[in-house]
Amino acid sequence: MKWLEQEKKKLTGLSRKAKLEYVWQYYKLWLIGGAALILFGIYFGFHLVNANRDTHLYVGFVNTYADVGNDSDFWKNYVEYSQTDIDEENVIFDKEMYFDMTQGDVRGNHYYEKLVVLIDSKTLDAVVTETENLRSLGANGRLLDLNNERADRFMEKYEDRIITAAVDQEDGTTREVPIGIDISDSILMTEEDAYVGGCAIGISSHAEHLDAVLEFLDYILQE
Amino acid sequence: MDSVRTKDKIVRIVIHVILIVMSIIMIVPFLWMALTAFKTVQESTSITPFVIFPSEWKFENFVEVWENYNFLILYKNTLLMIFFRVLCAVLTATMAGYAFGRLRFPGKNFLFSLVLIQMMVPPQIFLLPQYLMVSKMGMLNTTFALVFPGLVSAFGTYLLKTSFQGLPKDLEEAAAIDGCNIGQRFLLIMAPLTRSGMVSLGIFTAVFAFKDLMWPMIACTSIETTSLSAALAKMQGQFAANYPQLMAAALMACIPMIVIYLIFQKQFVEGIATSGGKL
Amino acid sequence: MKQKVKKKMTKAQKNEAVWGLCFAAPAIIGLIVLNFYPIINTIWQSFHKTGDFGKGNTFVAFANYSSVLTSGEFWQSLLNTIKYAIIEVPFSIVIALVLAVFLNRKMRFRSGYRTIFFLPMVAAPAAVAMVWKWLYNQQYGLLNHVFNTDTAWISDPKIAWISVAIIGVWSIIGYNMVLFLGGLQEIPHDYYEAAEIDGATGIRQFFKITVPLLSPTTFFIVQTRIIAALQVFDLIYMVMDKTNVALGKVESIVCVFYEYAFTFDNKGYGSTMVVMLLIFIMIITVILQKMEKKFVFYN
Repeated sequence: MKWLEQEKKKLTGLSRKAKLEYVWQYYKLWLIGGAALILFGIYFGFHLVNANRDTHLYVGFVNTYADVGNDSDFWKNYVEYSQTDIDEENVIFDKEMYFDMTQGDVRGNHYYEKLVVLIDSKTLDAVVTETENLRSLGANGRLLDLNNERADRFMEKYEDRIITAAVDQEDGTTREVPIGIDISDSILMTEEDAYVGGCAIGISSHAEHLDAVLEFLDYILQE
Repeated sequence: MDSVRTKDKIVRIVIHVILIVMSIIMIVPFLWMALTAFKTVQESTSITPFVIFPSEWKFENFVEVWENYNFLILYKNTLLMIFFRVLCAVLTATMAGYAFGRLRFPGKNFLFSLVLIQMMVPPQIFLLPQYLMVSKMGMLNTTFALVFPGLVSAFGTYLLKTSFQGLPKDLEEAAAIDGCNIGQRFLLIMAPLTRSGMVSLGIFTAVFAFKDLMWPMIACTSIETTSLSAALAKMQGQFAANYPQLMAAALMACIPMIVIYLIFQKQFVEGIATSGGKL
Repeated sequence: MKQKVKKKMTKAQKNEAVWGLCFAAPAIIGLIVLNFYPIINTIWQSFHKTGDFGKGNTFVAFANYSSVLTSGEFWQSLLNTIKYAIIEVPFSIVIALVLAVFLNRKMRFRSGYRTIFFLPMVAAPAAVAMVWKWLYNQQYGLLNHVFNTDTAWISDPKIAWISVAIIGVWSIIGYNMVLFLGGLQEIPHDYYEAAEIDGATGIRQFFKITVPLLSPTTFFIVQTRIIAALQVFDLIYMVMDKTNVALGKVESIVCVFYEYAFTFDNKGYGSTMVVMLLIFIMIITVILQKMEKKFVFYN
C-alpha cells in the first residue's frame, strides 16, 4: 500500500483543519458516495427485517373514483369484518387502475400492464369493474374459469349471478366461459356509488387467496 | 489577415443559423406543452380552428395541480430514486468498464456478451420477475423498490468500457512502474480520466429513471412513495380529458430534470489535461 | 483445459485476473439477478403453450417456433423494424455528430443550445405524440399547410414508416449528442493545437483528428442505437391508432410481442418472438464486433 503511506506522509505535519480539508478536497465524492451507500444499506436491512410479506387479500378496482382504496372506510370495515390483523397480513384494495377493454385498444395503457403483472405474478386475487369491461377482460384468459374445480365453491354459491365471456376458439367459433360474478346489488353500488350501471367481480386465474375472496364477497353482498 | 477573419465570421454565422433552426425543431413540443398549460380545456382540444395561443393566460392550471398533488413528496421520491440509481449504476459500471476495457481475465468475452445480451431484449420482459423479487422481499412501496431495477446498467458498463479503451496506455504503465497496484491505478488515475463518460452515464441514468413510468406504478402504488412520472400517469387516468392540467403537471415535472442536466453538463471538463488526481 | 491455462499464467497475470473478476463482479451479479433470470424464463416460456383461465402451461417443444416462423405477421413486422432502423440509426447519428462538434467549440449561447437539444429527452411522451400527430394531420396539420400538399403522413402505408422514423430521429438526436459530447471531451486538446500550427482547416481537422479519435464513441453509439432501434415500440403505439390502415406496415416486432404477451394471454408465442428478435440482434452484433477492428481506432 504505497499510496496509503504516501498519503499519510502528506498528512503528517499538517494541522487538524488542514488535514480534514485535504481529505475533503481529494476524496469528497468517494466520501459522499460511500456514506450514501452505507445509509442505503442500513435502510434496506431495516425494511427487510420489518417487512410485512403475507397478503390476506389483494383486490383491484378498475375505473372507479369512489373512495374504496386502502385506508378508506370501505377498507377498514372489511378488515374488521374479516378480523385480519393488518400488522401480520396485508389487505390491499388497489384502485389505481383505469382502462377500457371494450374498445380493444389497451396498447401502452400502463394501468392495464400493471393489472397483467399483478395477475401473472399471482399477486392479485380478484378484480372488480364494470360488467362489460370485465367480459372483455375475461376473453383473453387471465380470469379463472369458474367451471374449474378450484372455483367450485363460487359456482355453488353464486350460480345465479354468473357472467360469461365470449372466447374465440381456434376453429373460428366462440365459446361462453363463466369468468365473473355479478355484484351490482353489493354495497359497492348501494353505499359507495363506485360504478354506474352495474359491476362484476372476476377471480384472477392464479389467485392464491380464494377463501379471502369468498369472504370479501360475503362482505360486499351483506345487507 | 482580414479575409481570414471575415471567413471565420461567415462560418460562425452559418453554424449559428444551423443551430437555431435545429433548436426550433427541437423546442416545438415544449412550446406546445407550455402554451397548452395556459389554455382552457376547450381550446386545448380544438382542431378546427387550431388554437395556438390561449385567448387568456390561465395560471389556475398550475395552481390546481400544485394543490391537488403533493409535489414536494413526489420531487423528494424522484430525486432519491435518481440519486441512488445514478450512484449505483455509475459505480458498478465504472468498475466493470475498467475490467472489460483494460484488464485481462478468464471468461471476459463471455461475461461481456452477457452485458450486450441484456440490451437486446425488450425491457417489458423484466417487469414481472423483478416485481416478484421485490414483492418476495416485502419491499413494495419503498424507495428501495424505486431504485431496484436501476442498481446496475448494462448500457453503462458498455459505455464506460468504451471510455476506458480510449485512454492512452502510457499513463497506466507509468503508474505501474511507480508501484501502484491495479486498484490504486483505477482509483487514482484511470477512473478520474473517464469523468465525461461517467457524466454521460449519469445523465442517461437520471433521464431513464425520471421517465420510467411502468415500474414505479407497479412497485409503488401509494402516492407517498411513488415517483413524479407515475403520479402524472395517474393524473392521466383521472383527468383523461384535461390536457391543460396534464401539461402544466408535465412541465412542472421536467423542471428538476433540466436543472439536473445543467448541473451535470457543467461537469463536462475541458479536455483531458485538466483532470489530475481529483474526482 | 481451464487448468492448463491457469498453470501458464504468471503471477502478474493471475493478479490481473483476480482484480478483473472482482471489478466486474458487482455489475455481472446484478445483471444475472435482475436480467438473466427473466431472460432465461422467457426462453423457457417460448417452449410452452400458455394455459389460460387458470390452466397450467403445457410443454410444446418447437411448436411456437414453427408457427412464428411460418406466420406472415412475424416477417412483416421484422421487415418494418429493419426499415425503421435503417432510417433512424444513420440520420440520428450524423446529425447528432455535427451538432456535437459545433457545440464543442467555444461559442456564444453554447449551454443554451445544449439544453435545448436535450429537451426532447425530458418532454412528456403525451405532449410529443400530440404535437407530432398535429404536425402530420392530413386536414389541419402544419406540414400539409406549409408544403401545400394533401398527404396522409401517418395513414398512407407507403410513407407512414418514414414519418414514424422521422419522429424517432428527432427524439434520439439529443441522446446521441450527449454521448458525442462526452466522447469529444476525451480527445486531448494538443492534437488540435498541433494541427492548427500545421495550418489544418476546421474540416480537415474534423476528418483527420475528430473522426478517427472519436471512432470508439461512434462505434458504441452505432451498436447501441441499432440494438435499441430494433426494439422500437412506444413511439409506434403513441402515434398510430389501432384503426390506422398503415399500422400493419409500421408495426414493429416488439409491438406484436406486446400484443401477444399483454393484450392476449399468450406469453409462449410472444416469448418466441422475443427469442427470435434476440437471435437476429445477436447476429448483427457479431458482425459489428468483427468490423470493430477495421474501423475503430484505439490509441
